[in-house]
Amino acid sequence: MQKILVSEDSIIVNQHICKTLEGSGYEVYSAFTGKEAVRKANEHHPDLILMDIMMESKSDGIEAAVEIKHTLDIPIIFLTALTDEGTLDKVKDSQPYGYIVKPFNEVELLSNIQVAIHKSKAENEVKNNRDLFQASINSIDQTFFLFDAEDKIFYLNTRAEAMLGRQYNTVIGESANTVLAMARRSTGETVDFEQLRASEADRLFDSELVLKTKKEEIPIGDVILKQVEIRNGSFYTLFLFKDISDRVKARELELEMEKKRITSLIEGQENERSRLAREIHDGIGQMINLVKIKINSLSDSAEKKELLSILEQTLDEVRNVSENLHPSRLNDFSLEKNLEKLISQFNQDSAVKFTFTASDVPDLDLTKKTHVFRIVQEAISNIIKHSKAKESTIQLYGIDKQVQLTIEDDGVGYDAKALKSGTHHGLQNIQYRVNSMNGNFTLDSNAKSGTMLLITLPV
Amino acid sequence: MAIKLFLVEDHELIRGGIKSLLSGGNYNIIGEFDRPRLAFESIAQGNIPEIIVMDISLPEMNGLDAARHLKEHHPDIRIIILSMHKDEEYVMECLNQDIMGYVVKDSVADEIRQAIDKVHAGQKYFSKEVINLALNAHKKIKTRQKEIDEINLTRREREVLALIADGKINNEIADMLFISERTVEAHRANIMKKMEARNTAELVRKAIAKNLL
Repeated sequence: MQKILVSEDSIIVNQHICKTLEGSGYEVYSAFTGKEAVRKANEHHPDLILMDIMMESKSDGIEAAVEIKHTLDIPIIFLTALTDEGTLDKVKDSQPYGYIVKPFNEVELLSNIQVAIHKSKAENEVKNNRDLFQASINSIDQTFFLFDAEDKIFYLNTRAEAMLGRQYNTVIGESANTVLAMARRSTGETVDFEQLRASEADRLFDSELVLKTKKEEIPIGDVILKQVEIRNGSFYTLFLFKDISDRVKARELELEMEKKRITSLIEGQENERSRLAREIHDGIGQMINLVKIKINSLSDSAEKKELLSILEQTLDEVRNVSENLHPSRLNDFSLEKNLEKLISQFNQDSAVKFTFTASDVPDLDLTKKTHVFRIVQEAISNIIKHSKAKESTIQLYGIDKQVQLTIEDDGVGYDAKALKSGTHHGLQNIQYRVNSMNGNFTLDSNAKSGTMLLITLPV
Repeated sequence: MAIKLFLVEDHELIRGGIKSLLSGGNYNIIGEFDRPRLAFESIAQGNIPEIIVMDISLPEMNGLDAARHLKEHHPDIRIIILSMHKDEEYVMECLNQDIMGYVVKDSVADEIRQAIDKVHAGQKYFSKEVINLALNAHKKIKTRQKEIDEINLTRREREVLALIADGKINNEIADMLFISERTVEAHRANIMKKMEARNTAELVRKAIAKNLL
């Protein structure tokens, strides 16, 4: 049974209304003052309140209505004998469901009540649906935006508010492209919704998209950008994404670890080679020298001559093995001197004419010297083996706190396929060595103009 | 008076070998060390040799650096390098440093004695095998210097230079030559280095003066 509270200070009118309503099957409570109305509303939670505006010659009906509206949200119909606009204006604050002007008849009263109750129910349903929608949207672990047809922000969830560091009502109605400033992580290039729509957002910008907020740049991923159409034909855009900072960090860490692993592998190998070279050269080599000196002090004979000749060959072999493992000059001389020597050796043995120029090269530590030496060695043997070049120029300069190494040739260029697939072993090796020096490596190669390897290293 | 010598050599056997080569001569080995630092310490304590016979590859500090150090702090002590290396770089470095002697380790027995005697008498001594190396190296350096003096631009550098002189900027040059802008920048930097130009105007001026355009 529906409950109605009748708040009316005139006992006669109050009684009359109560009787009428009871006769129509309502459960009725009555109040004679504003205060009593508030108390009884709290006590019985009626489905509707009929409220006289003027009670005890004061307008306390309005105050009571406002209070009830705020705390209980019960629909109210005002009863009034006054129709002057001043009073009606005041009444608006309590968002009444209607007015009935005294005197009124029964039919008028009942139909007004029915309409108000129905309307209130419908409104509650809408409100509940909205609450449910909001609670659901707020509970998902994605940042959620809804834009209208003009890409103005229409709705956002609490996660979105938190990420932007802005309140709901400061964002609503703003243009999506202004509020959501996005960029490519690697280049810093701005990305707007036009571009996002034109691409398959998540695949194209995989781990590449950042949202710029006032405080920071947040990497975002798992992007969904979809158009939705509702029944009245209007369009909205659904924009969902996740903060993938953790994922990006993990991936960076993984790459960093991989780089360290490869670097220590290369450096470990280099150290071991250097140790072996030294031991062979200074150990075995010196012993052979000693034997040579001893034999020299023997009296001359054909055997002595033969022994000395064998020992000489052995020594040469020892030197070769040692030099191939690790040039001892790297320990004792500058990088330029070492490269000069290396290149003059290649010039003797190959048909390619190599030229080497260097200047202003700062002192580099042995690790870097060795890396650069190996890079040039690798690059030159690539040129000899694959390029069909006639000439090649290697240049090493100190430029603005950097070392710039360029290796040019006029050959046929690298096989684009091998380059693309990253399987060119020699180049990969160069790349690893450059990485481990935190340098930069680019390769410009085409069949027409040959190849240029460009490596810059911080000092 | 016997010549006072230090022996700096990390191989005990080699030290022994040298000692036996020098025995019976007018030589007094007043210190044997396996690394330069220990020799320096001994000198600091007043044990001062006339000549130091020293290897190149040594622990902590190599013989060339040690020689440089001695030259600076004890210019009176003469140095003879005793080395496994028969490479021009090592020989040239010793010549440049004004080192008095260079003896290869597998030289015949009396070479080391000759070296010590000559150096003691104020003359230089370089093993026969390395003298030729040094002469060759000298010749090479001269031709190299000539090469460096005439500016040698690569084909690609000449193309880039011509376009720079034409007033083209990096990305235009990159497009015209089908290479990346970074590569153009690198070419430009190389050309500037070789022509010792500090800016584009100077570069173009020098290029015209040297008939490179």
